[in-house]
Amino acid sequence: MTDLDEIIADLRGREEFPERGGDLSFNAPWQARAFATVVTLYRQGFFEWNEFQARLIETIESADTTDDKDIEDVYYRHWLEAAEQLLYDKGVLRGNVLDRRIGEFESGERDASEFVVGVDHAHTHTHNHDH
Amino acid sequence: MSQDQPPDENGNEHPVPRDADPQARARALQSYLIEEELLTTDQIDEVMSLYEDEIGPQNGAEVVAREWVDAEYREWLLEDGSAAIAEAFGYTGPEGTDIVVLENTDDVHNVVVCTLCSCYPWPVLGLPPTWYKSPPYRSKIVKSPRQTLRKAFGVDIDADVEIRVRDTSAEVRYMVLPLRPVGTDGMSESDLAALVTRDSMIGVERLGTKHVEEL
Repeated sequence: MTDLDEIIADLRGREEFPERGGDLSFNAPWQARAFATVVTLYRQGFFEWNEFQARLIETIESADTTDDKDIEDVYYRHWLEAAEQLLYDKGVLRGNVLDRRIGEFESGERDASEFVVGVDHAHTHTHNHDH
Repeated sequence: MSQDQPPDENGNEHPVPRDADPQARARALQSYLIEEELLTTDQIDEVMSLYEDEIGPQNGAEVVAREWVDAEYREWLLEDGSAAIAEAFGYTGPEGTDIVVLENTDDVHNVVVCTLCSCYPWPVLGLPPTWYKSPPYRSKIVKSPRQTLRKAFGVDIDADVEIRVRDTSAEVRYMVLPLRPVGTDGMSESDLAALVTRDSMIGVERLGTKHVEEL
């Protein structure tokens, strides 16, 4: 069994970001997208922050993630799960509208170039809108 | 990937398979909200740039430096952290409604954790570092704080200093008020702010026992 102190120390050692400003702990663009979408929904008044928080806690508690290595990946999967659940509870999402769309993205029927988003600026592509 | 799940009429179900590809999931959610004109890309961009450029531990550092030079502000901060931070500096937003400021003293060292998930005072510290969210930190710092601070963070807390581990609840966010380092008399507020680290405001670093030249 690995010493937990070493795991923490190792995680700290792998922090690549500076301590001041700009230190967003995302390790994939979808995590930033998920984060920004949820915070924007909150800012636009779709829910109270504690409503999201409560679902995030439920999601984390119901998952067994003690062995997962990629903390940000796991965390933002929970984040998405909590956001989807909240939006279904609020009636913003209904039926299988999201499920269908996820399938379309997974199969490549839709791709990210359908919409240009700021959260992907780290990967600047010239998007072509003439579909 | 898709299991066929019936559309629900009451909106209380969650027909998204948990094992769906998260990238597709994030794209699906965002594109749906934008196409339905519930959100705009500009609004989302604004959030990203806020958290990239404006919300981070530099905000908390300003608050700490003010407290070091202004006794009245200190009193206000300890009494009503959220108000003192929002009214003096304008730092508010999600994860910031109930910020409680914990004062380190010569005899007490505070360290913050969230055992529930990763609650963290965003307006003053930005988003939490990865290790703060890790299961090992969340369990170890509670069970053996002195040892964890020493082994994982290289921080030796004197045996006669009490360590108080503060478990963030869903309602309260904690920020640690570190002791002012030695040798900083007469420094300006902005020079002082530059000495304050994120880790010292979480409590995994102790500034007060250091001389300014060590920082």
